[in-house]
Amino acid sequence: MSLLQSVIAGMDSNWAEDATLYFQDELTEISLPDFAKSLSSRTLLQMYKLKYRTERRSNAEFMSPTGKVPVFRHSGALLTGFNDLVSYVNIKTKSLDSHLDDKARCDMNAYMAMVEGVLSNAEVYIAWNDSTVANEVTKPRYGSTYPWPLCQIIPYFKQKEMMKILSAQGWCDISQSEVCERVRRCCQALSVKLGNQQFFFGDQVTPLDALVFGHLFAIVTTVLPNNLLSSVIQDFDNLQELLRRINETYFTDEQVVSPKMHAKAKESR
Amino acid sequence: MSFTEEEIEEFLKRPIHISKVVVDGVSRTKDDLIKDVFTQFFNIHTCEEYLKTAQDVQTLLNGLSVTKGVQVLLDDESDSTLSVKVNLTERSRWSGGIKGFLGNDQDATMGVGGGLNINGLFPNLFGRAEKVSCCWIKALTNHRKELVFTKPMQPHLSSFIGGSLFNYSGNVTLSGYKENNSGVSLDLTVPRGFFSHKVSWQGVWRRLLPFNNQTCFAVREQAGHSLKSSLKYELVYDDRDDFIMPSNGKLLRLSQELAGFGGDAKFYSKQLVVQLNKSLFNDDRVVVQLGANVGHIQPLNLFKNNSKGVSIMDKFYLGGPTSLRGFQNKGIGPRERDNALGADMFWQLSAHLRLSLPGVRGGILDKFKPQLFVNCGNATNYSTEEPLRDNLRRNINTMRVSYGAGIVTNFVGVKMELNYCVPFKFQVQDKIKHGLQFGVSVGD
Repeated sequence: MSLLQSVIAGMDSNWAEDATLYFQDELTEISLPDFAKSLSSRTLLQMYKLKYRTERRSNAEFMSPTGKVPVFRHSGALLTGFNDLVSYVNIKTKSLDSHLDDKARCDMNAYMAMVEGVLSNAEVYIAWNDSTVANEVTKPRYGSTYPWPLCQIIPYFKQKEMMKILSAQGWCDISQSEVCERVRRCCQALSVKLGNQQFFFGDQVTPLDALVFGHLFAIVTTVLPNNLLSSVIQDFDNLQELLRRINETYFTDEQVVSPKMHAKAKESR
Repeated sequence: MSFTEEEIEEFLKRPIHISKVVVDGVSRTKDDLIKDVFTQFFNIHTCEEYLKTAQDVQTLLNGLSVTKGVQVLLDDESDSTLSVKVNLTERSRWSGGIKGFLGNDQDATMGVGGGLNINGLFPNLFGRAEKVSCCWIKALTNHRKELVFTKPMQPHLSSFIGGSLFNYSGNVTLSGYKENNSGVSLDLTVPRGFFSHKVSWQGVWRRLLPFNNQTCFAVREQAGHSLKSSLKYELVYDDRDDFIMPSNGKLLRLSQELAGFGGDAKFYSKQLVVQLNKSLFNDDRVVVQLGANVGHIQPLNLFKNNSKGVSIMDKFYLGGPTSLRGFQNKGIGPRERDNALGADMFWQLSAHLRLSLPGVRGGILDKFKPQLFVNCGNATNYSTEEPLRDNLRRNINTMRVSYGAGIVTNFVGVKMELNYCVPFKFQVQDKIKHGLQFGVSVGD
């Protein structure tokens, strides 16, 4: 064992086992954008093979220092957001992108920015701006943890807040077909990048794989009255293949957030 | 003209009979309210009763905000019967005011806060002493908006029903959170002699957010929305001769709150305050005051998804110049890093010896009273895994004690005190305050 490897191994064993991800319950509460973000972070930790626990907290977004979920807590550190989690894990243990050269790393960051910019907004658009989805799924789920009459009031204000964010990003007043077009272009770029490779950068996973998996898997497996986004993704065979591959490699049967389970929860409401 | 004591006594005992009451100056007030107020004149038999009733009527009408002046005169009708002539000056339809204020504010940086208070009053709205008041108070660390409606319960005009709509937002920096509460309340107050009963219901939508990045995780875990719907009963017995610096009398206040009629805050909370005052040597210049304050809160069931139990907003805090002296505000009890988390139960005992400056009687210097005090208490969480006895033993073993001396004064209805405090028994994690401590409080 080389010195470097032993140092890395030593650092690995330093990973305190109190790492916890807090997010809302997938079956009854979480909204599509938050589900995608939580799944990305979980996938990342799975890929690093780090020990962590997940805790379902309906107030996760209020616990968060930034208002975003999931909230990651590890030996006193508290952080949110996928990028912060990547940097934190890179400092604490070995990095997933160490096999990349500088150019590839720049590429990866650009793709990650694109995915965050396009897919996150598209998820918020579908979840909160589409009146059918918002009224039948997102708002009832979001309000489900509160007693009457808060279960009516709070989702209403949350929707207003989300619309404000959307309109600041220029995603509010566009048509559904325009949203689809943006998602299609994003997926097109990802699909071309992936090509026939195992993962986006060859045989080894990178944080980009975790991020894309989280968003696309959430979109594909969440059953909504409006399946616009998932139908766009259906057109890209190699992306679908990537989802299947990551799902099988990194999630055991219990850990997998099975689409059936997720759909059942929606139906039972 | 002067009278001897016997003459006055004889005059007070003279029997009179009132046959008629004439009330002048009534325009908005309804007749039935006037009748409820003035029928008591027909029940009086002596001059003394008459004088007392005239006084009571004035206090009552001014207290109801119906009038700003009441003049009661006795008229000779004939030799045997008398009539009472009353001149009322009704209050205007509305009044308002703007004022600035300064006071203790445990959440402000220096411990002293201030702000602006804009209020409005609409007295005697429909002619039956209904009162609507509103206020808008903006202080350094908090903001309150309130609309209150009260109405006396005819014919018992000292009993009230009331309701209010309110919004309060503030920073609770010592516990590391900020809150925003909107709510509605209904209450019924029934005074009977020295006793007063108050039953109220409150429905509050509470939003709790971490104050900043320094907020500890235990507080973060409780952030978010909650709804409290609670029924509260308060029993007060108060025969003290002064609210600020009593020299004789007792105060007993028992309050109980049961939350969980709808809403997700479910707890049963009770608190008891007892205060005994006795002046020694039949003279108001040396007064002994003993006080006790005990509280307990228990969750009625655990929160839905996590075991938060009682919210940090409902728990008890101990420590500070108006609580347990010798400690900083919220300086005692469970805490994580710099954030006080509140306790499930607390108790506090205090003994004061209040003296008067020797050689000064009356005058401005006599308003400053030296005092000696010793106080002790504790605030701990109740562990359901241990039996009650162990919980109490743990509480007693970690008791906090402090003593000291200082000067106390009544400054236009506000109790101000400056004490030198010596914490005597405390725990490592406590935030003590050894030295001068300045406190401002209203009542108790």
